Amino acid sequence: MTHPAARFLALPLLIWAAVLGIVRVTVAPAELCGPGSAESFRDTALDAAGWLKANQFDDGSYVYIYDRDEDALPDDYNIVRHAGVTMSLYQVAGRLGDAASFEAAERGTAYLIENMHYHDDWGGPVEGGNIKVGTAALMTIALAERRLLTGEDTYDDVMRALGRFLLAQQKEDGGFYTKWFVESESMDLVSTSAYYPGEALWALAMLHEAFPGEGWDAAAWKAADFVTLLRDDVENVPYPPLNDHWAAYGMAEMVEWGLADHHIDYARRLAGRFSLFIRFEAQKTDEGLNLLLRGDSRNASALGTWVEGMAALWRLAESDERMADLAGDIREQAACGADLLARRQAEDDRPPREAGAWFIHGRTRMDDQQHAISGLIYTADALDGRVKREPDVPGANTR
Amino acid sequence: MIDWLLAALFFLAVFNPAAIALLLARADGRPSSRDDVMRLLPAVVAAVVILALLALVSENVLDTLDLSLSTFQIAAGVVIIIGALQASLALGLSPEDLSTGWANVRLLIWMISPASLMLALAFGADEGFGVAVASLVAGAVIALALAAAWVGWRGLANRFLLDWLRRMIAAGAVVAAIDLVRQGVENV
Repeated sequence: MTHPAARFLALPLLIWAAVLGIVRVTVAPAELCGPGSAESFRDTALDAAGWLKANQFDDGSYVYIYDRDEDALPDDYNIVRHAGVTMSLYQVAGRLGDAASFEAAERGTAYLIENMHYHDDWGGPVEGGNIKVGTAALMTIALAERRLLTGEDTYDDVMRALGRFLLAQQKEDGGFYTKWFVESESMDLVSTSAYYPGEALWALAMLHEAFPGEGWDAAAWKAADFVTLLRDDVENVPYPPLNDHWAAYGMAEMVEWGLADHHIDYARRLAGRFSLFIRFEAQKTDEGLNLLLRGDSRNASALGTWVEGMAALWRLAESDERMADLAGDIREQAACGADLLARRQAEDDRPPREAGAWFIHGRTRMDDQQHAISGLIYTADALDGRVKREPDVPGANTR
Repeated sequence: MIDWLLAALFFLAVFNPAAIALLLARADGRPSSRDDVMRLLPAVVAAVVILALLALVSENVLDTLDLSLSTFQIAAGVVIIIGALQASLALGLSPEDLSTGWANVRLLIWMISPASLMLALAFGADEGFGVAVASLVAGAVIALALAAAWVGWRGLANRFLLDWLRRMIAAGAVVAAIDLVRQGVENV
């Protein structure tokens, strides 16, 4: 006959030990990220900017993809991402005081200007015979960053032309068409884009900040309502909200205008989504059973966007009482993601095609560096308690 | 206030008074006496103390496990769902000879199940020690009182009804656990 102790204690303990072990492995593996430091995050961002500078061509374009295993540069390019990379270089110049990054960004801007096409009172950079809303939006933001950094009005007319393109592409519900076909002089009325509305939202907000009183805020509000209330349905996002870091930037920019409750509700949900993704990423070890269950690490262009989003939402949370309760947790998660980025970066003693970049399956793409840079810079600011996003002194970090 | 009440209800569902009634019932089926029930008080007190201590060190436990609260809430929800399934299947539940010390041991094991341990940790880390302990004590006292009232009144008569009550309360725990998982997924 079994001793009562075995029946009452041993069996339940064994069963529950097995259950808890399985839950630990499958549901709650350790989240392997440290808090990091502002200084180390800025160093990592500078190293990433080093990759962009070392991998820029004479015409101002950048290495789009580098395949480390093949030592090859696949023949591909994307001007939307070019604009984003240029924006991040202006951010490095503005926040980290790197004049060489400013020069690289200027060459990147020259490439965009070279590809501008004007129609009526608006314009935008052309690629593949069309002007995309994403390119115009990110170029607007890049030029707005430049304006904040230099205090110069050199490209104000270009910014306004890009802004008018965004207005021409905005739909009645606040959403956006995706592109303009140059040759046929017609809009693409069919396709949609999940992320262009967020990019346009931030661009319009930046335009209003640059040129207050010109009415850009009306379009920004329409875009904000579309993103927060309609976009996820329009794009059939299976598990809303879409992890849209651009929208987070836009909201953070607009917080001083006085956001509505539904904007704040969206921002709170968005913070939860970024947090979930960062936590999941922090649980990956890329080996053994963990690799089988959780997959391998995501590229820096994905992880970087989540960190960017969290850093932007931290600024929002610091500026709006309705999100104040989340500020500490948001900053902690942003730091967790930034720490993951810092630890996954290629060492700076690697060859120029590798040093400072992030590789997945032997490949890096230029926006891996872009998103990581922006995320790292603004997370470092968050750790320092710096809510202001723009550079301190216009013109200080350009030459 | 709402948070505190919901937490107390959650503990109540995890303890499952209908399941406890099965542990407090006399093996011969007759209604349990007041003395029978009082004999099991040490188990309840010990369970509350152990769970309260866990709530107190919950943040240290999460740090040791390298887990954020949100991830822990997801894990806790999963464990509570498994615990609720156990309760609904009546695993480990049967009337006991209340005169032996094993009755106390069985009740203690039931009350400090992994489900209640996870819940104490989750509430301790989320709501703080005070709220966690207040809701824990309320849940334990109400669970014991309901269970004692039942077995003192009916004993094991209407076992069929008691079994359905146990399953319904377990279903309530599952619903609450799913909401805990949802919080873990959606919270920062």
